[in-house]
Amino acid sequence: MSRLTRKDIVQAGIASLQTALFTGTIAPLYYCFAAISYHEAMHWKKVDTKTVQCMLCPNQCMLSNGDKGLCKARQCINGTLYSLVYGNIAACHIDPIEKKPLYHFMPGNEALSVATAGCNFSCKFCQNWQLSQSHPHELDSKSITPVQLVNNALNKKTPIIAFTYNEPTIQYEYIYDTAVQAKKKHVACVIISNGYCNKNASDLLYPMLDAIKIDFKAYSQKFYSEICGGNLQPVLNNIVLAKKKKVWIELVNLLIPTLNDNPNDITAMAKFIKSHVGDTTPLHFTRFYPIYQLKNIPPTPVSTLERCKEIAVSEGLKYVYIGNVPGHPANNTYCHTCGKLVIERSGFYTTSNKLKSGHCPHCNTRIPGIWTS
Amino acid sequence: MKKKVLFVILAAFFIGFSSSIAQAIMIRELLTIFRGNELSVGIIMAIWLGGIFTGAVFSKTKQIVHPKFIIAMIIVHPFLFLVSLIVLYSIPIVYSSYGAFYQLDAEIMIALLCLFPQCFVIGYVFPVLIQYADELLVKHPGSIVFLLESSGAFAGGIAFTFFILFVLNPIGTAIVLLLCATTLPLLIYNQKKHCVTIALVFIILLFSITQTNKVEQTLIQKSFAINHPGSLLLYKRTPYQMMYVAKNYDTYSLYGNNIFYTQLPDDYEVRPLLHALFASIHDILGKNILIAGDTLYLPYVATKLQAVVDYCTVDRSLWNTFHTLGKQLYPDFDFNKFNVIFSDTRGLLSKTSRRWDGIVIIPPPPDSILHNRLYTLEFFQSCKMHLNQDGVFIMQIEGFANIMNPSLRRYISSVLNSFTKMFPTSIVSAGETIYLIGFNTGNTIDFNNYRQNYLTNFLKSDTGKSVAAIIPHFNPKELDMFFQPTHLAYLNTTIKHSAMVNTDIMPQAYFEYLANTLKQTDSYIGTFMIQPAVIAIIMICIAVAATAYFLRRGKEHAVKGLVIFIAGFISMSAMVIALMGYQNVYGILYYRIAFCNALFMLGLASGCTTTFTAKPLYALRIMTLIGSLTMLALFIIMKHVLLLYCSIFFIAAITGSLLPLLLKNTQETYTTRLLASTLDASDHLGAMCGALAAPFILLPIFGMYSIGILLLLSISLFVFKKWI
Repeated sequence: MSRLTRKDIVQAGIASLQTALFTGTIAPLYYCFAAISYHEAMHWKKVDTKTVQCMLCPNQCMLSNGDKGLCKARQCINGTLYSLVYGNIAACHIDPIEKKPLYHFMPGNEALSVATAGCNFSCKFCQNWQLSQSHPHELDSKSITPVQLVNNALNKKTPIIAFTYNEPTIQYEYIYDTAVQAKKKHVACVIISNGYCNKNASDLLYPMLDAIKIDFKAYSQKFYSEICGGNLQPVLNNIVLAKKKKVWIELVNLLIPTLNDNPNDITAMAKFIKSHVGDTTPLHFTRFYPIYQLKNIPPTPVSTLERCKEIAVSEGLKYVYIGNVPGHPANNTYCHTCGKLVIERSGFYTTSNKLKSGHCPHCNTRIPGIWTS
Repeated sequence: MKKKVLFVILAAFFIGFSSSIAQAIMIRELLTIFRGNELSVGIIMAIWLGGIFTGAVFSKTKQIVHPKFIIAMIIVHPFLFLVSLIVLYSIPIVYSSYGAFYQLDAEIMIALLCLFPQCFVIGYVFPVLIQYADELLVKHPGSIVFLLESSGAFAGGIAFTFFILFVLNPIGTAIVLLLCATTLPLLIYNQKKHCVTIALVFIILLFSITQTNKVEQTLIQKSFAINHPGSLLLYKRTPYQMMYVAKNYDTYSLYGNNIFYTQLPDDYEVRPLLHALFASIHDILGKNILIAGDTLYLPYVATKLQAVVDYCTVDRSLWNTFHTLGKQLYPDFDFNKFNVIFSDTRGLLSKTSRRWDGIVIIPPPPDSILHNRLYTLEFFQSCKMHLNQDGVFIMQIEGFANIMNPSLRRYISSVLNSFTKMFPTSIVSAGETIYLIGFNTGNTIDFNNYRQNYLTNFLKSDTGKSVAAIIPHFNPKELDMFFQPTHLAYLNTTIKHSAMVNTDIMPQAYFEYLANTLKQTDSYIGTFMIQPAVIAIIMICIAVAATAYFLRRGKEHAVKGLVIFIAGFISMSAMVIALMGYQNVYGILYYRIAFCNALFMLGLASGCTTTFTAKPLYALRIMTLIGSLTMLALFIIMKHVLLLYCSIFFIAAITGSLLPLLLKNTQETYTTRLLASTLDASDHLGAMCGALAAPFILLPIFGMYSIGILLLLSISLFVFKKWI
């Protein structure tokens, strides 16, 4: 159902007029009317007849009639909160699961990866800013129901559906419904998330998922507030919650020179992971490349990634990887008992998997992870 | 009386001299903290001219001018220039933009803060000098002052380009100008103390030169430390850019004009390009390869594999730094094995008849006309012409993460259309980095065979074995990262094959890339700036408001103001188009900008001398303007620099002659100063609109065909013939 506010129509009208003048198309107006479907949201409360408070993420936006949340994906209309991204898929690709990166989850398999517009963060280094910082009506999206998405995954022989690229939890209702359908058809569901979700919402969603990758952007409140527009504590809570709910979890820390590569923070991060989620939780240190609003910073020196890996290992973490550096030996998995190579990767492809039913072929140690579909 | 006339002469000359040097320095220094593209230049120029316009508008009183007031104005200008420079160097210290560029909104605020006060003074003093000259009963006061000011500006441009640039830093230059300004009146009015004054000037001058380097170094080092990772090891003004070298742990980063250029050592970043190279040329032993771009690792590897490598780079100083660092960081490689050519790739290809087996280019993104010229149809054509039979062209461009917004889509479409038009036999990858691989062969290339052949055979080949020995863990499978089927399908279905081809004359990719860049900065003003209609409406409103305002001063003011507005608009737009055209043909403009500016000023001064004749020769002047614009159009086609210099000179000469001419042939009774105020204000308002219209309206819509619009505007000047 299309429920447009006057503001939407006026904005789209102005945009269309300008595009029509210079490119001869009326795309924005078309998208405004054609693509956005509204779906009543979960996790919100009524403040008064026309105002609601979204309770999905820690931003907890107070929204009057017509207002959209910080995530741009939820809107208050006449005292009801609607999701603007339910099934409005703006990007859809088939990626190796290693690209997410999830190294201990069904390696060598492909994931049907989908995304919508919007995000509850505003990271200055966002690789997918075109998705995350756009309003749903600005993107050319396709409406796909949860059942259709699961069928698509089956048709394309991808045993995994990954909600990725932008923050997936802003399409909470869609992920929830899709996960229900996927379970019936034995398709795995994973989210590639920033972990910025309220406890009630996470409590309900996490058990429905097969794996979660959380971007542990830094062990620093300053970094979260200045660079990402969020807070650290809710992320820490969700990392712990995911482990408690027994969902497979891997953590990624994108290291940006000077901003979050302080050895003390890395030590604190490794200590937190070891004590709260366990020493076998994979931690990926990935390389930053200049992008979006941080275009004038050099890429992370490989030596910085190696130094951070050493810190994490010395703190007792057993599976620490270096990512975004194709060909680096720390892309591979080595058994934490005998230290021998068990999975070899090249770029984001698994080139050799020597595991036998999830066990090291050399010393028979169980390697933590989900190894079969 | 003689002294007073000499004072007017020196004052007018000095204000031109000082403002021309200040302009060249401020543009260069502002560009080191801004993004450095034509939008920034357009904004800087518009604010510069806007400041002069405002000063001229306010300079309308009829009070008798006292020489002390002029002395004060002459001293105030270099003083404000000095303060602006210190403010400019301090801004990144107090307002950090770590890792990012300032938003367009911030750029405008900074430019306003640093330029507006000094430009206001320049604009204010011009009518004052004319009034003073008029009071001294100088014949043709407008023409004389204009001539002196323009001559001073010409001398300033020449002095800066050929002398100041090499001996003084910006702060030192501002101090020297300030000293000259303070001693100028002393020299004229206090002859007995000449020797003491000159001795004093010399002492302070020497002191300034030695001390300002320390001040500048401290400010730049602080600013760098706050805005970049690592510590600054070296900074240097080369003829092409301001170069910085920083050390971050065990890596060295190089910056040109404050924009990150490359990092050493980095053995991983170039791996994808190596895959594209080896998949396309299996055995590179003995092959001639031309490489251009910001990596040292690629030519090293290619040379190690016994290829004959030519490496193209523009800035010799940058290369020397690069080379010294490279020798320390890559001791195993033999530097003498590749031939370094100090030229930009396009310049080299236009001069040589050599052919290569492979041309590999890693250009910077097309965020300026200078870089866009490596993305055009003409460039691809030139590369194809320099490939041997069965030669391969490989280029790395910025792509898309998972989706494309409309401007990104149009940028990529435009580049791809240009590329495939020249290389019908090609392979294009998809993803955040796109590889354009063009084959100079008539045979069709089947991608599956291409890929399969590389995956199965490369490591077995002699080159493959050598690569495996040089580069640890080298695996051809990594090639697949750039050819993910769904990304390829998305690219093929999304790009518009009907989109405009990116050419020198119609640089579509450049404008779309800029639009996409502005979108990333969340700039409120930026979102308006990329809408040509909005800018056009704003400009029309400004022109109407200015005409209405000058109508209150009298009909003649309004009409003459409009004539000079159009002339100012034409000259500045033509100058922007000329400079863009220069960059299209010759590349970096940085070290030529002050020379072009000086040439423009020489044109203004020369044009002014033609107004001493009794007849206005208005029609002849307009015809010459039309001829000069035609010469500019010919330069775009024939690419001969003499045509460009001539057109700049004559356009300036004609537009420069109009102001004194209109001032001279006054039909009604007004004070000279009021009319000078109107004309000077209108001239700079027109120039300001031209500085904004050229990069924001004319070039995005009409490309270099914009000269046609300027020709039409020139013809429209005939309408006002009866008023002259």
